[in-house]
Amino acid sequence: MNMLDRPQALVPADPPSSAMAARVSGELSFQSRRMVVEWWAVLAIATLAIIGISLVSPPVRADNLVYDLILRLNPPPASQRVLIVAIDNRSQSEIGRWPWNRDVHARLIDQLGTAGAEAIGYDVLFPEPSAPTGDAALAASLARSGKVVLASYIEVPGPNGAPALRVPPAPDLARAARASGHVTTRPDRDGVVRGIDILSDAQGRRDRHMSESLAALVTGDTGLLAAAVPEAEAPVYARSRNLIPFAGPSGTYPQLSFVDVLEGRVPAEVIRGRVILVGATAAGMGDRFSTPMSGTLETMAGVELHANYVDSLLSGRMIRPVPGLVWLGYSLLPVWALMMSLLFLGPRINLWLGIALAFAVFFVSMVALAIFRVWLPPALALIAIGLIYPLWGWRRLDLASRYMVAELRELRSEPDVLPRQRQVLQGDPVEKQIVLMHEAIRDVRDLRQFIAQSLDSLPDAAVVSDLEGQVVIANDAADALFAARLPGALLGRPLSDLFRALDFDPRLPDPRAVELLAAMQARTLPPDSGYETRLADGTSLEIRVAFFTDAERRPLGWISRFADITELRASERQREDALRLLTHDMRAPQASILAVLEAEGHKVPPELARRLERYAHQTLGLADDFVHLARAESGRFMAEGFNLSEAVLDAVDDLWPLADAKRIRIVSDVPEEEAWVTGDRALLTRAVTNLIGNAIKYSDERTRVEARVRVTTSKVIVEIADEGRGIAAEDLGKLFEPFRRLAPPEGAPAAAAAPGAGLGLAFVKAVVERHRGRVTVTSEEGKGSVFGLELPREKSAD
Amino acid sequence: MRCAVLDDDKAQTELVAKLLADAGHHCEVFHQGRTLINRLRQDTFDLLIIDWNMPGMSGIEVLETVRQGQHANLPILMITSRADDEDVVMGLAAGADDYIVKPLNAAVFMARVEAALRRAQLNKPQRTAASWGVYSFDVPTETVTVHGEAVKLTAKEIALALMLFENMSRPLSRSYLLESIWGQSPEAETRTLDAHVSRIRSKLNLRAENGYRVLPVYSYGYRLEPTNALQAVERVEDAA
Repeated sequence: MNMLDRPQALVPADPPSSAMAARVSGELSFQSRRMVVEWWAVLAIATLAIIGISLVSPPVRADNLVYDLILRLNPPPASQRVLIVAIDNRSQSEIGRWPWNRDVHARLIDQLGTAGAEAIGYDVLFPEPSAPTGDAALAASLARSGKVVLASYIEVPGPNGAPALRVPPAPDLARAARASGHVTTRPDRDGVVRGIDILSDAQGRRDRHMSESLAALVTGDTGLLAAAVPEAEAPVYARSRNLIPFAGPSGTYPQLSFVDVLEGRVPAEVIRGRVILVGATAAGMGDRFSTPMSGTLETMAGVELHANYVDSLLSGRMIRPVPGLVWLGYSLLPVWALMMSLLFLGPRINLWLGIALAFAVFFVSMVALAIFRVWLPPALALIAIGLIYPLWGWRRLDLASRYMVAELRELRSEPDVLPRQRQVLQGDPVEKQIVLMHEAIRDVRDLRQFIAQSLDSLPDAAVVSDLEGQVVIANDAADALFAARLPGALLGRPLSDLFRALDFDPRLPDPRAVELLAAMQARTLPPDSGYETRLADGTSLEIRVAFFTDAERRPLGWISRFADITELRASERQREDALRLLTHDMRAPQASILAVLEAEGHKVPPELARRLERYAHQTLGLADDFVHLARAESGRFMAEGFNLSEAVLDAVDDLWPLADAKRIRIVSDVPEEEAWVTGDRALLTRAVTNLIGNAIKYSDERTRVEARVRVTTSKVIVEIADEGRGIAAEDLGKLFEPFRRLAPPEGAPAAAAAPGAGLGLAFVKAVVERHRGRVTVTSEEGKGSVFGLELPREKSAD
Repeated sequence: MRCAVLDDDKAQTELVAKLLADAGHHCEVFHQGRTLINRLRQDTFDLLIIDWNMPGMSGIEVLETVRQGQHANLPILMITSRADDEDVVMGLAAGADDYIVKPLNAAVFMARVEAALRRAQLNKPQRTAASWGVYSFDVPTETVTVHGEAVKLTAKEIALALMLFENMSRPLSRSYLLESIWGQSPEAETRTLDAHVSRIRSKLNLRAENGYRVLPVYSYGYRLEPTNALQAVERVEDAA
């Protein structure tokens, strides 16, 4: 199985240190700190950008579009109170060519006065005196009426570099009229008129708009009517703009022809109680403007504009633009709201939230305009919302990309598991990033391949499964093991199927497998668990299950190993059989020989009986020594704490009869302090017995053998000293090799050599080394030898 | 005393029969475990001596069968040619009173036989004074005299020493010793027992040259053995 069907990374069995996990999480928190910094930066940039736009180039066009739309959707009703007396084409053709003699105007004012007009706004300029008779008649009429507001005009820019030129009515007329007001109309940049300058300053005078003065006259607000006070000579010519809520397109307000009124052809009740605006509508005369209500071609006469405005003033529904700061706040508020949500909420929610915010801004502007008569331009807020997404997206992407590049670079600089040539990083940043990414992905793929090949090269069947117990990877050996037992591929199968396939009989599931699987499911399995089982075909399997974890040590899945230990077990059995042969089958006949000699020994010559007995004992000893050595080198090993002094005394007691027979005194010298060691007491006692036995064997009669025990802080030392013939220096090194015996003393016959196969000291060495100790020997020929054992001292339990 | 010997090796049975007869015991020889078990249904013996390794029913199986029947208290000695300590413990755990490793040493063998038979007639009255060799016990004063010199022992030490002497040549398991002397006391630990054995060994100088030695039975317990039983044998066996 070389293919990995799922892109699953394998973590090495030894999980990485927790320090690395801490490093990863530390980097993440660093990243999130960076993100907060970026967030503040984006917020500041967005805020500054919006303020900048509001100061430098507010999105007036877009706002106007919205404004016109809302206004057209919801026009207020035109009140019947306002009436226009139009200087139209018919009037011109009946009265004569413009300009008319001023007594015509005087007559009209008289006619209107007689009919009972409430107030009259005269949107006709009388800038300079004309024929004195006409002027006198008009002045007289104006004075008689007392309800006429005359128009003045402010020319911007003024002549000869002056900021503005004020063109008031002729002084006589101005004095006679009740009030005057400017009729200057400034269209917006798109050429559409939406508002009126309530006040205009020019040449040191401040003029109220004619409609304002007219409305004040109607409402009787005499304070407002008082002539404007000259202010400081500020070059200001427009302030306090109001917006006109147009009631409809041109022609919405009723019009009377000038000549009809002049000739008295209009009934007085049509005029009575109405506010009259007199102005030009005739083609080619007077000023005409585009309005939000008009289409692209249609225009509105200035007098109609004033009619709309006067009506709105009288019915109290004129529209006020909000102050700049309020507008700025209104534009910034959704930005901040959106930034907050970007920091805390997910990207999907944020997209919807942005759309909702845009609609909300639109809706608020609409409601404010239609109901509260306040104009909140929404475009800047909408632009700001639109600005946030790319800005924040860019910063986040940049942050993520920088983090990725840094990580990839670090990954690249780390020593790789697989030896590999690295490409040289060159080109622009994007190209480098691609190279880095490409290498990282290739590394992961190669590593995956490497893992799959490594698993396949394992001699044991290995199966990797996820936490749910589904097989994710199975190596070749696993495929082979289960090929005959489970039809089909192993991948994707539940692990329990595999265990079940090993059972003798499907009706009798192995309780250990059931227990193991249950523990795996409950995730309570100790790190290395398993059991050994014998399959129906005689195969011995050792099953081990361990989980593997991610860098944070969270378990990711299970690795199950099915090791075929049939041969191992077979060789173990062979060894056991061989040892049993030695311990029993070879000993038994020897024991029988000795039994026969014991029972029937008197039937043979005593010398012969003694020799037979010695040979039988020798064979027995050989078998025993061999078994002991085998056990000491590889057999089972009991570990218990005990006092080594006791073991030495046991050994001395054991050999006392032998020593006594040779009249050798064994002096034992053990300390008061406990010589505590951990190990196999039987093996160590036998080791000491062997040393003392040797000492007796190689000593002459009536000598001394000393068995001393000493303790140091870390060691327990046993010394066996004899007064024997000693060992030649060249033999000392070979003493502990198996099958080595000391040569018989000079001149003695070969048979005089001490019996034994020479396994005793090899046994001593094997035992002591298994107890992490060491054997020492010092000897002086003719004087005696000292054999020592050094074992690590354990802390006594007392 | 009536003894039964079970072994498939004729040389062994002959020797055992001879040794027992010399000591004045009656001895019957069996070569198959099945025969012995059948015989036990209708006959009574005072002691069984069973070989471990036999074709057919093994000694351990015979031992277990006998122990499960009505002969739970019958003294049984195991004879084995296995020298492994593990085997010894296994035999004792299966219910044998004692074990002897082949080749048989006549003196040791007879000492063990006598010890096992002594146990059969237990229920001895509690002694207040007793003596073995150079050791004289005086229980009320908690004193032991060795070579005429008084040695002071604690109550637990004297109880342990007495138990070992009274069960001369018998292997006593650790749990048996702990329960008999310490009861259910929480200090009854293997270590406590080892320390007490070590103390009476040094206080009483229980060493081979004084006629008695304490033998550890590995992973099982202790046995007190008279040295003279061993001394009588000419030991040809060598340690190396």
